[in-house]
Amino acid sequence: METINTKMTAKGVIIDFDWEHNFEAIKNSLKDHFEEAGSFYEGTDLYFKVGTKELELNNFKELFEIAENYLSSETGIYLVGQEDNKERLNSSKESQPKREPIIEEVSFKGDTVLVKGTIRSGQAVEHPHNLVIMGDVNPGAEVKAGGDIIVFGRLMGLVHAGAGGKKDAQVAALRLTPTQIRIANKISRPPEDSNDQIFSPEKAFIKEERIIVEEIDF
Amino acid sequence: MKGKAIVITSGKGGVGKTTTTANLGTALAMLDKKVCLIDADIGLRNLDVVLGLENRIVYDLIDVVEENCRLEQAMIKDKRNPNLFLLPAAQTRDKDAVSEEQMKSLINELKEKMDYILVDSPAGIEQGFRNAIAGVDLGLIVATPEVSSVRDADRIIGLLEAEGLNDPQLLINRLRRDMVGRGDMMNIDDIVEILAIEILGVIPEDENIVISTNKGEPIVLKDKAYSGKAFNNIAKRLEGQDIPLMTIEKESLFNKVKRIVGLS
Repeated sequence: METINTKMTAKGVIIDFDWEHNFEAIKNSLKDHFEEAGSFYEGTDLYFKVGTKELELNNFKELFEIAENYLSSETGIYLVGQEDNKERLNSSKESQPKREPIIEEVSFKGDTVLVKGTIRSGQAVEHPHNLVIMGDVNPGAEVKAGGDIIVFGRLMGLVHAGAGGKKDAQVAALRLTPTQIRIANKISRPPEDSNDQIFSPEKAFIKEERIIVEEIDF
Repeated sequence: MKGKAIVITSGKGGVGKTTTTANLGTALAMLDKKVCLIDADIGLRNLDVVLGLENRIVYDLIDVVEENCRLEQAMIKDKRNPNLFLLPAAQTRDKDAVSEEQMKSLINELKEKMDYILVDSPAGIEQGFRNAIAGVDLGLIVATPEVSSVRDADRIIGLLEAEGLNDPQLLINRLRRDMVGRGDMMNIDDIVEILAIEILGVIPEDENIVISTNKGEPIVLKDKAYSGKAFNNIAKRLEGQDIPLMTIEKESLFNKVKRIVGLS
């Protein structure tokens, strides 16, 4: 087991600490994790799983402070004990101490999320890992993922794959005509006055520090 | 430099605020003025599309006020005119993401760099409108010759005056001289009589506007378009030049021939 593990649940994201490692290592990997996740946890509740471990109050505080540095105030942070709630603590934010126990744990790591339906102007879809969209992404819509993005439909809005800096992330769509395409830290837009008449699926990826678009070979 | 900040507003939607902002801005930039257009319609941005700059947006107004980027990074230089800049709105946020104080300080910062700051206001009289009028020096009211539009314009004039923005000026948009001639449409005098404010310009109805808006190319760039000329005249009037209102009466055959031959 790694120093920390994340799990997605119906209520939010659980961060599970492996207390076998020393506290400094845990702190560092939590920092790295937030660094990598960027703004993905905005608006999601976070649950720090403490298990049966008894920690000093100071240590709790340090973990919270790390989280607070990276997250907006809308993100709630909660502590989860094993069975009883004795170790449950409030963060400095307005969080309710009484939360129902978390059920429906779903594996989160490396997972791909499927979104069905049209993403319309003004709507934004974000996911820390891979995203598959069954539908169109209209102009004015934003789709952002830490990993790859696949659109089973027309991709016409703004798309950002590898948003955490993953340079080998790819974007694929049945019709790839985005307003703007971003992969990792690269930004590209379709050439002006291009009457794109390609109706076959295309993919975009980074090659030699540039975003390249090519037809998908089947 | 101490620029002038102007809000383009109407109350009613669909009367041409965004088209006016894009064209008036382009016209002023063509007069060698440094112009920054601000899209204050957060969540329903359009100005970038009308200017054909949508695919260049990286940062927006919200990023600036939340200090995710510097102001210069969010300002998009127009692809045709180096004097023209656009500060786009965020599309996936809502109007409460920015406050009146933030708009005020943003506009004050821009005034140091620009000759003109044109703020494209959202329709309505709620928070978005309040943000759009924060910090500006002049209100430009866009109204079409319809009772509902004039009524909303009247309400807006009252709200502007309550905020200390006195003496707003009027732009009448989409005037159809054939209909006015037949007495089927309100004429300029009818509107001015009700609103009792100074009139800055009249823009005739022109189907070319639809074409230019869809293409993302402001109509003022087209030499021949009647409506484009109207916007150019409005820009010159803002610059203090004395340009008479374009005649909107049906021109006589003689004049028409003269115009086509190029004598007038």
